[in-house]
Amino acid sequence: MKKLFAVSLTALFTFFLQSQSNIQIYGFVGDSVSGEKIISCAVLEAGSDSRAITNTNGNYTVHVPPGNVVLVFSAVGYEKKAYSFYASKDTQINMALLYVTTMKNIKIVAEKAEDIAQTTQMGAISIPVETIKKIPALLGETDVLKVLQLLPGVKPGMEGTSGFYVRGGTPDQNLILLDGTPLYNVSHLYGFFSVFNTDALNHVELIKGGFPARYGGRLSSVLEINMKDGNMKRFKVNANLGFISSNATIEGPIIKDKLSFVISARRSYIDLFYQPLYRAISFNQYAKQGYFFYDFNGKINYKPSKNDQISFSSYTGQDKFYNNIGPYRYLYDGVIYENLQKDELSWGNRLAALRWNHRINSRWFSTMLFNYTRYKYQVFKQVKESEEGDTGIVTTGSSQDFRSMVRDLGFKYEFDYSPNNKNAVKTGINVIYHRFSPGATAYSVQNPLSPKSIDSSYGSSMVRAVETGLFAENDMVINDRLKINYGLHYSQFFLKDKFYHSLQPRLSARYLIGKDWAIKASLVKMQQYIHLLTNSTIGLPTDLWVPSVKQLAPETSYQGSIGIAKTLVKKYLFSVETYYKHLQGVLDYKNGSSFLNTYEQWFQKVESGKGRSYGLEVFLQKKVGKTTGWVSYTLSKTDRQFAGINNGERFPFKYDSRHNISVVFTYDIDSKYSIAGTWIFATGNAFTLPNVRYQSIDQNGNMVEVESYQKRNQFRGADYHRMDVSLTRHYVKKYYTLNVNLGFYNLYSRKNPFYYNIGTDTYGNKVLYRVALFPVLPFFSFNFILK
Amino acid sequence: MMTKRPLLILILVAALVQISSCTKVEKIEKVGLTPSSLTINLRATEGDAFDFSVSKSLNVLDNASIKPLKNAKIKLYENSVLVETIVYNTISQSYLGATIAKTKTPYKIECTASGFGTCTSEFFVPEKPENGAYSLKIVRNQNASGGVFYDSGSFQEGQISFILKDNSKEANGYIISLKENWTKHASGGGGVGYYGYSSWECLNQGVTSFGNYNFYSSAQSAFEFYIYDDLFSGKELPITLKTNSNYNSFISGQDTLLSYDITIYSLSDGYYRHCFNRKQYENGKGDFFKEPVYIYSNVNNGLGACGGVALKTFSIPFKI
Repeated sequence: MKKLFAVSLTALFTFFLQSQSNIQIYGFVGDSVSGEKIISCAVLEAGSDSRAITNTNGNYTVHVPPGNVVLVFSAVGYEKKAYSFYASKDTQINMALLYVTTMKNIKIVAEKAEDIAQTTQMGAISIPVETIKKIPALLGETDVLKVLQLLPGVKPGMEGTSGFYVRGGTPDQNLILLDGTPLYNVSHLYGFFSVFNTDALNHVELIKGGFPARYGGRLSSVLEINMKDGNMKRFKVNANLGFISSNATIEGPIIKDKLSFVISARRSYIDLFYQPLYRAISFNQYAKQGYFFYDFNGKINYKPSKNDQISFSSYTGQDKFYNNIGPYRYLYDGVIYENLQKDELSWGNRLAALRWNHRINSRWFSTMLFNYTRYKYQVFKQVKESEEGDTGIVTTGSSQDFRSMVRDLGFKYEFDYSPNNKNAVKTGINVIYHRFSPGATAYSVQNPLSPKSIDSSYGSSMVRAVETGLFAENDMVINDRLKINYGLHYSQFFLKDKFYHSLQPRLSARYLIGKDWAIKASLVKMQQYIHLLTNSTIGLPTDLWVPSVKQLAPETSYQGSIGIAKTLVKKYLFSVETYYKHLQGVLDYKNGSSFLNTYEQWFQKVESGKGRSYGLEVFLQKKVGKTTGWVSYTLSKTDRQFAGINNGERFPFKYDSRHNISVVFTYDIDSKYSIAGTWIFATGNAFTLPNVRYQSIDQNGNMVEVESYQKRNQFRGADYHRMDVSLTRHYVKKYYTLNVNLGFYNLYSRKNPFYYNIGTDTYGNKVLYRVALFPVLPFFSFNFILK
Repeated sequence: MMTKRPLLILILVAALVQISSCTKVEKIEKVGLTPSSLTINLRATEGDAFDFSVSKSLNVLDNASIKPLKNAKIKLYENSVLVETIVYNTISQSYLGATIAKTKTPYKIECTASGFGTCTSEFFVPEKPENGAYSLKIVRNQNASGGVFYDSGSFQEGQISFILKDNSKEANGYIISLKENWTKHASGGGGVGYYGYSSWECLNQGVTSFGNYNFYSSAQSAFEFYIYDDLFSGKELPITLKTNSNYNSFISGQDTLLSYDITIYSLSDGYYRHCFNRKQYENGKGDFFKEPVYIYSNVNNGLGACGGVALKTFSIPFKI
């Protein structure tokens, strides 16, 4: 294996060693107002094939021959800018572009979208953050993940939730990176909102297939989210007042053009309104019931020199449900009694990342990253009574504390190397130290009548593992028509008693037919060593993150895709892709098992199997102009197969959906008004419901009636469709801008299925109930920007 | 202002009605009208006549009660030879045959009834399992002064060990049922049994425990441990059951624990699988977090289970 890897690396580097005697022009592209980096900005030499795209740090390198050169900088939403100069030696050129909507009159200058036919990358879609903010969302809470669910090949889970299923994969197969650091759980309020505060974001990109070698560790998608670096020029305040929560973002320079910060905080306030109401209706002044979530993002960005950038970013967020009574005290017959009852459910992430971007020279660029990420889920119940009399305090009670946690400490070091115009190389290593605590319950009983208090715990013990990755890839121009991206990703997973490793080849190619039609194809192998155990009946965050262990091998996928892409009339990105994905080692709970049962080890409750997914995706997107949005259609089929489930036969994946359509548009009517709308349609999800009743015999010969599931996921729910609309009024003043947003979620009040259950009606007859969650819901929000 | 208020109230009421009307009754046809299947159940024991129960399954939303099917015919084959055709017996209200069940004999049935396809099933009657030497070890927790309570308290350690023996070469499944035999069951709601609970688990790897936690406030049921044949490495399997029960009183006049009564069921393969799944099904009823259970049937083209069972019961007196 190592030999093969060495040979492949040698082959990889052979091409670009034949460097040409060109001059390197390199630099940074940023926003002219804020200094914020611009990711995926095209840098072209006019009249030649020389071109480059800025990386996630906003840096580029382009190779030009000596002489007069005109460089054209072009990014979606920004005014195109040309820069001419005489090139005689390697030169650094930093460029600032003007964002078009910052102009008083919304006159669109950058009418040209990026050229989709130029890149080898397949299945990648980036959505401008400004577009995400405009798209109507549940209760007016703008949400990155909800917008991603409208893309082809991406399917939402249940109504309203922000989990997403990419090409038949599960949510744990999505690598979600916030500033390069993975986040394990990205939802608030049981998934109705995501943890990302859009005001703090710079760039959002989703990759569904054709993964470059730099990505590893997940099978189905990479969602790369980059936070803003903070305004280097001046202070800016952005505040949103919403139905459920409010947030504020403050950014600005500490040292102009050198040191900047961005802080963003959000909190929900359902509990603040609900608690007084609950106390009143429960006639109990000690009752506390409610829910809240909060997020806090912070980032400090420092540019010590033209070639260096150091940033520290952090995130912390939590959700908490609570239903508590007390503590309350009362006097009875000379004794003071104190009672307390607690029921709490909480989950949340913490993340910290320290990054150093360094331009080594005109050809080499490096990124070093240290990061920490933690996800914790906790269920806590407590009952406590104490009596304070003459003989002292006597306490009785019990508590139950279920915890599940995953903690990662990571290091990543990556290099971008641009030897010539024909090759763009990326290589690097990463190491992650994982600590998994998949689920343990601590019981405690205090009883003065009992000879000894009980204090015990059940559940899975902590698992430590080290995951490493080594990769190299090259984006290579073979000739005018053919361009390929090839690479290798080698990963290793070290456990105390087991070692797994995997060599994953990646290949993507683009072939131009005519001037601007491109055929694209890709073949990739992916492997992941961590799994999410999800209850198949409901989508609560009862999910447990667990590693591959001796008893359960890693998950592997092989994905092939082929498609065509074209930029139509300079404004529309059009693509058609087909894919086939084979999955191995996917997990599911065994018949009748429950995540709450901590008497068993988690790996005894699950079964490993295989799956497949295939489909066709059509996508037409308009990113620039007064009207933006997209239309997408997905035809797909996904199934699973486990030896011990469904009698060993294939069954439809829970979120298998044959047809998915989404239409998204935003339209700027004038400088005062804009409207936006979405319409989505999806074939109903697959559910497992009993379908027959019969008599069953037990070991004693007793007959009992049972309801039987003949097949897993044999029942198909009703089709899902929904329309959301919103209208925004912009008040643009000299020192501030106020945007008032009004809209309707589920405009025609479609009762989309949330779940099904069999119950009885008022006459005692058995009926099937379809439970829908949200009827038409009006919403409003206020967005305030202090300039 | 006055004219706006009724409108506002109307909007609020409409919104509340809208929000509260989220639940919708789906049409019956949506479940899928699964055609009825023949359901055949048999629990055969050595030395007894075969006694089948035959009925038809109903759609899960069908509100009718399940009744015995009386027009079926069951052909019984012993060693692949037809020995009897069994019809409905109006006295026993079942399909009671004349053939006596034997061990070490392969059986097959073919069941036909008007409106249904032919159902078949193959099974055998297991030989009686045995228990080898057993032991009971109870170590009590100490009280605050270092001694032990006389008649109450939790166990620091409690363990029952015995050898499960089966000399047959058949692929059986086993259920070990453990029941605590009390003179008077502590009833809860105050008094001695209020904080008491009993808890048992099987320490053998691969054994599935059910009902492993009983509060005295509820009616006490048996603890059950399901063991599939592939755990046997030969003809014997040492079994260890562990308890960390906390009895508030176990040798006082009111509540006295006399013995642990153990029943070993040896079941034929298909029958065991059916019982195991059924137990999982019952265990998960009403639990929102449980995965659905597919109940195994060894009746081809039908439902239910046909198989044999053999029992061995023994008691372990409670001593400390």
